[in-house]
Amino acid sequence: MRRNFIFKILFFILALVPPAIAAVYMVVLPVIVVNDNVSSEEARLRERGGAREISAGGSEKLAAYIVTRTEEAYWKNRLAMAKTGSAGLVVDLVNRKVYLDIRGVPIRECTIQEMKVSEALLKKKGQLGIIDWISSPHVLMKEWTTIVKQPIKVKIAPKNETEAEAQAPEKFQEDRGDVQYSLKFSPEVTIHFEQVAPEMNSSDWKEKMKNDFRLKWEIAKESLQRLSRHELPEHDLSIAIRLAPDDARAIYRALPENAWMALRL
Amino acid sequence: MENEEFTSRHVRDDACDERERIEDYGEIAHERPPKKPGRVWAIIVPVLYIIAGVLIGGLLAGAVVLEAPSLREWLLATLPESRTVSATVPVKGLDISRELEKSRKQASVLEGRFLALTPKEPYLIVSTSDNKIQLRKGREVIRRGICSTGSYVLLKSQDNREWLFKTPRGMFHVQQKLVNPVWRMPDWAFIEEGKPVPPPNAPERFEAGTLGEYGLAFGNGYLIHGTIYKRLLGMPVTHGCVRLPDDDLEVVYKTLKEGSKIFIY
Repeated sequence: MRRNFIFKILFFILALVPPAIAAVYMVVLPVIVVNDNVSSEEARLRERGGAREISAGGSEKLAAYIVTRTEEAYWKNRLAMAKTGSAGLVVDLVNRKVYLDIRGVPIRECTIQEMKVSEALLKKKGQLGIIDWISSPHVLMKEWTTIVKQPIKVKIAPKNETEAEAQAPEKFQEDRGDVQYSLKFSPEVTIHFEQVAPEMNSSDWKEKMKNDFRLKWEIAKESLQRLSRHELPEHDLSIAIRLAPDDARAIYRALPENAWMALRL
Repeated sequence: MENEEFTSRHVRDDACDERERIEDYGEIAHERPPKKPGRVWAIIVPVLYIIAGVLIGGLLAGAVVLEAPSLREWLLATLPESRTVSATVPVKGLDISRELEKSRKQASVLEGRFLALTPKEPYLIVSTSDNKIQLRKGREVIRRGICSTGSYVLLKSQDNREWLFKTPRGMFHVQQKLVNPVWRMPDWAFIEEGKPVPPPNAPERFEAGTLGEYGLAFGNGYLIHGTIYKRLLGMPVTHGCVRLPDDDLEVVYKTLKEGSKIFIY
């Protein structure tokens, strides 16, 4: 009897210790460990401003300063994107808009129907460090998607006119399927785009599940790699955006590889 | 009587001890082969406990690792500010009024510079994703309409040549304006129909009337033109050109000049 009791205890240890360790290193420590890095912006301010004391309202001024500098970075980034010939993505959370820019012309303007900014990004928004983070356009590094970039259909040319006449006329297939994709940019931020009111038939559901899993797997892999280097996983800077289906599809299809993004927070 | 009772109890106790000894340690199993299934279970059950513990622990740890971003997000939202990432700070003692003013001016200058990039002259925007056009002047939309763009058909000929029928993307200029354009049919037009390819300037290569009343060339042989296949307008069915309905084509032709910008995404 005593022996069985020991095995029961062992069972609970084996079942609970690994998730507990995972929770500590993957969840708790990354959240509570304080990041004491002094941003280069802070160092620059210290250098320029000396150590003069300011009167009351200093923190409001600092908050206003951060907002103005991020605004400055936003326009600077859109101008930088205009110099490239490619389409660039503009995410303007202040006006709840997503734009596609080519050469500085907003060729598509989409209204954000719903959005959710991650807690980590909301906290970062109030820090001086965000100025460094947002000072140049974000570059698209990876993507996870449920739709194809180019809906290519292969057609083998007929050998002769008789074969051409025998071929069934091409049927136009409407581009269907729910749109969901995640774009990971550098410096670290992931934007999750999804269409509003997805139809969610079984194949859409399957695609969405596969896409979600691929993204989670990728994040988990990166976190474990960081842990293996004795570093804690990073906070998740992410924005989830819901757009009209046509908007979501058009934006994904228009973005080239390594597209640039300007972000307005 | 007393003695007999003592002896029988003693014998029973001995037998119990022996049984326990066998159950607990299997010491003399070779002497008495196991008859009861309980002895096998005595080995299997603990092993099952360990296997189940390892499996459940592994699964739970895996779930924690995969769901770590959501759990971190939840924890960040739950914990008070002081227990999480460092908040704004430590520049509180600096005078940033001057920096703030400078940054405001700079942001305003950059915004003005960006807005000046939008052409003052009329320009055309073509969406290949939803096959729509917008004719704009500055930020104002003059006309909206449908169009047809590249089908994304990849045609493979019998002699291993390939053509991908897609509309090019980016910014282009109207290079030439044409009235009653004549189509000079490229090789793929014959190959697609199983016909022999004629010499470069053979008369059968030239076809009048199929491109509508107007044409606007925007480089590399691509045109904005009319169509005789009006029911296919709004669908991606062309070989790369942009087809417009007659009335829209006329407005676009009359509004755009040579050199006007065309944005395709």
